[in-house]
Amino acid sequence: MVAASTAGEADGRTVVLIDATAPVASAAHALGCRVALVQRPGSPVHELAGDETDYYSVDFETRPSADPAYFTDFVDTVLRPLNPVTVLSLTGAGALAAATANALLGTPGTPVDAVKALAAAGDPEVGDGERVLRAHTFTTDGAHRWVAAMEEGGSPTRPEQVLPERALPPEEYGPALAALTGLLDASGLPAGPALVRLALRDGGVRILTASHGTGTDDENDLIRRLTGFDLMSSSLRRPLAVPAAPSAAGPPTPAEPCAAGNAGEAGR
Amino acid sequence: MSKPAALFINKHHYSHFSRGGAHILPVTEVDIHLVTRYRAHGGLDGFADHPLPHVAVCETEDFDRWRDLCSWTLRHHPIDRVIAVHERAVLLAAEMRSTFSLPGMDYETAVRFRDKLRMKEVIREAGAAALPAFAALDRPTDLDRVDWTTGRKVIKSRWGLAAKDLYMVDSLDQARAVVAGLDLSGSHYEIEEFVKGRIYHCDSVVVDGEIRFASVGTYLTDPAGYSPGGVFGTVLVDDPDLLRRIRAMNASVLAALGLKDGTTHLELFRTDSDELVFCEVAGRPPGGVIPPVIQWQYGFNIVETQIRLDAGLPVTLGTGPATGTCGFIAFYPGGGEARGVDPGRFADLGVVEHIEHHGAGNGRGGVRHSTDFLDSYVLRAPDEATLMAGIAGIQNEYWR
Repeated sequence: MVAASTAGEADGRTVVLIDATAPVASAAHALGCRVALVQRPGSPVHELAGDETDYYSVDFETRPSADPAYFTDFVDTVLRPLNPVTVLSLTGAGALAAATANALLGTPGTPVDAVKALAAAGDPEVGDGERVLRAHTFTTDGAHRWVAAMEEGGSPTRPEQVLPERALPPEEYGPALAALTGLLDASGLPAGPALVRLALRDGGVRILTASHGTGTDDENDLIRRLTGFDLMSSSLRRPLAVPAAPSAAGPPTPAEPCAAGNAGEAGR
Repeated sequence: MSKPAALFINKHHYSHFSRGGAHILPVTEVDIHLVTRYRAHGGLDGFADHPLPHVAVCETEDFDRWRDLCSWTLRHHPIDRVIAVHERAVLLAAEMRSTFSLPGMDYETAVRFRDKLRMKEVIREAGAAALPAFAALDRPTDLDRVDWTTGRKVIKSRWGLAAKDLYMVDSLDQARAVVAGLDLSGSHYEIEEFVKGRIYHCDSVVVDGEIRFASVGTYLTDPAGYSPGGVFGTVLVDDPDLLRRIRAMNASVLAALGLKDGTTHLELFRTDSDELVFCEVAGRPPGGVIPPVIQWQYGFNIVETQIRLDAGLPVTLGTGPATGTCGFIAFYPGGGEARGVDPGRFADLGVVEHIEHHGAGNGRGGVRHSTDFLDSYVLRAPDEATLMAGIAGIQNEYWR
């Protein structure tokens, strides 16, 4: 169950969140804004909604492509009167809907073209002998930071298994960083998280899939514990200029913080 | 073949639709799109036990927002029915049906059941029931046209419910003082002759224009007299002649107002001279603890009946026991902490159900409305005398 979102009363701002999980909804309720959730039909509203959370079951993923009026009317009729400061999603599935809503409302957010460009990138087929790496990035003002590199299906327990420069040998790290930078620059992603699946073999790197969002809650939690970078919190707080809260879990565990200087930054 | 779909505009606690372990929303027959109120107001109470895939939660006190959400839902989903049980939702549901050309009670009919002035005008035109003298109260000067020689008057909201926004006045000066504190714009108030008498209620089920069920009860106290530490209740009436007369008034009124399918809750006065005078009628099931009383006596849930009729589903009204009677007594918040009847005494007192109401009171020691109960006890008895003895026993034992 989510705690009451009473802090939002003082803030007065409303943020719309699309495709939230329970931890994401809970973190959003702690931001100090009013929260409105847009979720797939069948989502567990009782696990997501706070005391005064607006909540809407909407097929934001598949139906808008066939029936654009469905979603645009939702934005105009239901979301616009809330006067939200922005519409956010932390998932690739909700990113296009959030971008579309921001475009319709005139609120700040990731451009639709950037979301589409990321979603269209790559070839998802994994070839023989290729390793799959899940690259988690976070972009601020067009500057991309490679936060974590996780072997798909792996179970990392130490920072050096996740921090990109340390997790990859130099002959893979360089090309992977270049591929990520090229992709994120080309997409025009101005801010926020991205999840890029990379295929690696014999020093070669190619893009499998990409999306504007974070990984799973478990991944985000693991990355936070091993790198000190909280993808979920950053994705929610930075668009709203809400300073990071002191971590309830104490200081980050890695020996080296994942900040500028540890080569965890990609791009400009 | 996919199920039909219905929009359910809800302003009750969601747990209101679960009783005795049974969930009364017809989810196996209809896809329900629920629009409900905030979690803080109970709109999701018990939802985890009876989830629905299509849910919207909003501030239902913001009527425009509520309407917008319902409109969008109806514009973009293959929904052909609208369900409403709460008095405040009934008019919006009817508006939605009229706007989207859906079957069920339309807006004009709903207004006749909702606007206490309009309903009495229609009843007067049809000669369907004896009425107190009444008039619209749209400006202070309307008070000057009222006959003050006939004694006490009642000023009340035309759209109010649960005996809220109701004022007794004995003189023009008193009335002027009350009106000075009211916003009379928007045609929201009326004034009518105070009728002294016991209040009865007739709760009915109408199917295809035919009254298929009509239960009559009488309140133990005046619904307008709710106060901290006070009591309320109802007992069923089994006097055949009185039943016949009240059912006849109910039939005339419903015919005049024109209801095709639904449940109703009519209230009337029985004066000291045994005259029956219409008070008001709602196009929805009775509130408070009357539905459990009807269920114990007649074997069906009248709230479920309303939901099924709105959803276009067949209803079974049950027969119930042929003998005996039923009633309830309820206690408002306030009046002390040491309260409650020992469950071990229930059988002797005839208690068949104890309902503990959550969230009763206004948080400041006050009572919000006539059904803002803290504890309710439903009783069954072989006859009225035994029932009344049981109710008296509960009143004695409740305060410790």
